[in-house]
Amino acid sequence: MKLTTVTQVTIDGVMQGNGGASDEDRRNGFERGGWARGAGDDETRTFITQTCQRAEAFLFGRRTYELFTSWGSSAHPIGVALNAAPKYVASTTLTAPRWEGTTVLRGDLAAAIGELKAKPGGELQVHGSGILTRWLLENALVDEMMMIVVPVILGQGGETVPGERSGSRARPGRVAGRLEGRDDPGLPAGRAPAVRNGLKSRTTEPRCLDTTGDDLQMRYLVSVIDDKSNPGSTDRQPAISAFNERLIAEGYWVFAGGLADTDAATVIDNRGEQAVFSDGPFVESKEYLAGVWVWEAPDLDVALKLAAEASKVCDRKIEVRPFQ
Amino acid sequence: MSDVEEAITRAHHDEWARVVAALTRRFGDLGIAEEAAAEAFATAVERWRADGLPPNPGAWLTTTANRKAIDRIRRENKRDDKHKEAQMVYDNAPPEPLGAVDDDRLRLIFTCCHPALAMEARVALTLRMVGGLTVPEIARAFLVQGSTLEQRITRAKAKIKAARIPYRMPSADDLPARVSGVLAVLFLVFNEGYLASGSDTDPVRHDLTTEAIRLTRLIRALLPQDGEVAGLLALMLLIEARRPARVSAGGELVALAEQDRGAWDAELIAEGHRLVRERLAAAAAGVAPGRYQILAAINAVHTSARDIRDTDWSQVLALYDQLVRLDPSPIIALNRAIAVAELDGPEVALAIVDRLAEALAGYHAYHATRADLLRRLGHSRQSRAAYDRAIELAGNTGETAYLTRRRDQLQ
Repeated sequence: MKLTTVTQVTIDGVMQGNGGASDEDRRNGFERGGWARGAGDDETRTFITQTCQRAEAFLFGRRTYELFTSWGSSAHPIGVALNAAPKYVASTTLTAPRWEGTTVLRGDLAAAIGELKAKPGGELQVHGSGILTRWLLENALVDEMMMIVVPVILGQGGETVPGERSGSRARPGRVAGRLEGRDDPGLPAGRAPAVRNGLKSRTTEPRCLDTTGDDLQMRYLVSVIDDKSNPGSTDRQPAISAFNERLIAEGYWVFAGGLADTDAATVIDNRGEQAVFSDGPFVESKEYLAGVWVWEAPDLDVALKLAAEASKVCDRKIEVRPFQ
Repeated sequence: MSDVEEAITRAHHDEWARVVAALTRRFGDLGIAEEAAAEAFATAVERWRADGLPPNPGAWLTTTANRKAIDRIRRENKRDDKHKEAQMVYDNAPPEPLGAVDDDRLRLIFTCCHPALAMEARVALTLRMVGGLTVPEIARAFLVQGSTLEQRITRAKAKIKAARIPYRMPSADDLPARVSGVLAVLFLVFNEGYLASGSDTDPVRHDLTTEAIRLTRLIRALLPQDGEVAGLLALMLLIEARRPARVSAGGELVALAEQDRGAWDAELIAEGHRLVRERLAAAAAGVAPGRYQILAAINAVHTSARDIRDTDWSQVLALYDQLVRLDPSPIIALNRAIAVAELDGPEVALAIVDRLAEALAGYHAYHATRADLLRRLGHSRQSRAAYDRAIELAGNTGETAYLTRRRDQLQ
């Protein structure tokens, strides 16, 4: 398969934050995120849709992959194309992807991608996936780059198209080609990828393929609540262990721990002159916290479904509360 | 009303939910969607009056609301939607055609009626986001302060965001439970209209019953295969059909037996009966009916009788027996007892009702039913005491008036 990258870029070569600036971006002084946000024209949409439709397979970095899982149930032609094709994710942390047709590539990534490229067939498309795209370029694995130029000049942003640099910015003419849509044979052949300027970009309304945004998973604190006047059964440990195994296997598990009796608690208050220690829990109540989990899940429905099982498994009430 | 005013009202009815739903999907934020939709409708009022109607008002509203939302996001660039960007920008496809299973409006309805939200928040959100009622309108309907209601909606939106309640169709195995959650919200709105609980409101709130029927029709259009949706719509229509006969000129509720059946709305009854027949055919084909379908069938029996004496009580009782198997709640048992009284006499029915004393001691209809059975058995003194208790507990003004008259007619 031919490895094609599809990247959105500003006229001054910036790739980062097309959908919105991440916290990390902002800490580094990048404030002009979201430059690719808004409506594209019909031609642009058709172009993007057709590009996706002709893919033989997709290769993602982990962040973009998680962003794209929201296409999983979509009936939109892009969603259909994504769902039908095999998907590969380069990730060292992703364990059990739930999007059907996904394979996680770990270990020797260059070898794994080399194998994919050696397979017969059409395009192995990489959408967005900024970190992966840089790595692929550095490792000379890219056959063709498709740049979708969004006609804005940001004047800031350190993450730029790799290439000959002047200051901290790539020289955009080198890779972006003209704004008229046509193949640009201007680059030397050989190991360097052919660069295709994706489309005529007449509109100021942007498209976005990648965000350098945050992790798509949500974290939830899952509290197991026991009732002193009506305690749950005490023989649940084997079932809880089995449930934990499943949480780990399916990639939800972050942390779990049972708590000692509230009698063993100590409250510390050092807001005044000196620290005051007091014996016992901060609030005396019939109901108390017996244990906690931290789960990672894409949304509340997934967390609630697991929590319903957890309540059965533990024979206790469960509270699900999102982390900020 | 001028053509333009009429078009604006119609567009508000037909397009509000569609616009809010499409914007929510695109921008991943109910708040932005709501504000932008409201701005677009406000602009429509101004522009359409001045320039006349656009050729396609729905498309005009969607486009305008999209622009308003983008303007807003640009203005407040700090709004950082952490997800959905890819979809937001990729997915500019026009909304799915009506009837498609993943219509945006369904997602919107399922989000507003999510079981993780408090019931009162679900009701308020649904009426605002799907129904397009304004905050003061909803506040008036539920007799709460506007600020309280505003807060309720704001909190619900914040929870949807913070806990990440998803904006999508429930999975197939969750669907029946989630649909029944949506229907519960709509039935609650309908019931509040049908038997208003306020001590100083009209006994029947036409605005709420109409709104509940409109929203149920919408869900029926979106989920045409769902038997319970059809059942609830039929149930509402058959109850609504009796509205003209339900309150006397003096503002007193009129019991079913005493209603002027000629005043019933024949068109609504015909539509309700059509839906019930459709579900009966499905039941004959082996699809077990749910509770709304059975309740609709009971109401179909009542609305088929030209006179109370023509009522097929054995059919009513058979349907209640079926309902009790699905839902063994004491309230269903109480209603079943009324049919028993017609078939087996008040004494048998009273024995059934008395067994419900503990569960229903605080429910006015329990005491009202008992009072009526005791009256028929000639136990005036006990009947009077039961009427007193029912009057004490009843919140509805028309019902209080009715119960008071019945009590005062006792020998």
